[in-house]
Amino acid sequence: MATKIFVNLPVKDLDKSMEFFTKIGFTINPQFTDETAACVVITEDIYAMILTHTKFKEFTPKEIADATKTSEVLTCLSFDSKVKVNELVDTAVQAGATETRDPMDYGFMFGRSFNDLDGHIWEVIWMDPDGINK
Amino acid sequence: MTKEIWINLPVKDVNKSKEFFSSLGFRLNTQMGNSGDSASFFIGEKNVVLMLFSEIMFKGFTANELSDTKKGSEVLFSFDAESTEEVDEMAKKAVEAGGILFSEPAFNQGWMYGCAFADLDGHRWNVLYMDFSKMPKQ
Repeated sequence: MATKIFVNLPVKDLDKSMEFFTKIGFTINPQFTDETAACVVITEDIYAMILTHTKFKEFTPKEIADATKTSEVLTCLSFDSKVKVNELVDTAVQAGATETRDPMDYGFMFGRSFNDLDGHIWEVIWMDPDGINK
Repeated sequence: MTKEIWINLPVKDVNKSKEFFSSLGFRLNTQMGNSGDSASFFIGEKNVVLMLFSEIMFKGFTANELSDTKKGSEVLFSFDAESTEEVDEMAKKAVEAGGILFSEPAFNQGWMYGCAFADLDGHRWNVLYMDFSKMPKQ
């Protein structure tokens, strides 16, 4: 069964997007990176592959959806604490992202979300593990 | 460091899609996330969570229109298989469950073997076996 997952996203400007994801705290795996694509390491087993539009089109005969107008997916990342959620989203906004909507706070769960440079939406959340079991 | 990742997708019919992903062998998350408007699965061993939401519910989260996956793609998901046989098997299962195989299982660059299918809502998935022993050295 699968042990790794890659979320492949088209980006307009690979260099700028690499810079963006580096700024918000992720590393780039050079082994899977060239002038057409970069591998953003999210965890040991989870990667976001950011691909130039030309490269992305090699994988799908369809047009690339304009993520600033419509959404096909929401990618959600969870962190250990509210502080980390705030840190990451604040850094993302400084690096050029826009905050998607107001933060949500359910007490045991706190989340914020941002649109990256290409409009792809990232949810960043913290969940109190004790809150779920109640 | 990020702990987990959840992939959230809009679907037209939560029950049908639930059946589809169960047929592929994704494990239903029995702890949480299942209702008339949503379903929750684990992909693979590392507990990557796949959440399916009714289109109405999904729109509530994104404050954006839904993409028409017949016309364009925003994302392609890849997950790995342990062997070429497993890739073939996933391709077969996806088609049997109503998905569309848009890329038949085949070798790529001599060390990757994969296929790709669209699910019931047109979201695109790629299954990949990577033989690192044959990966070209840079």
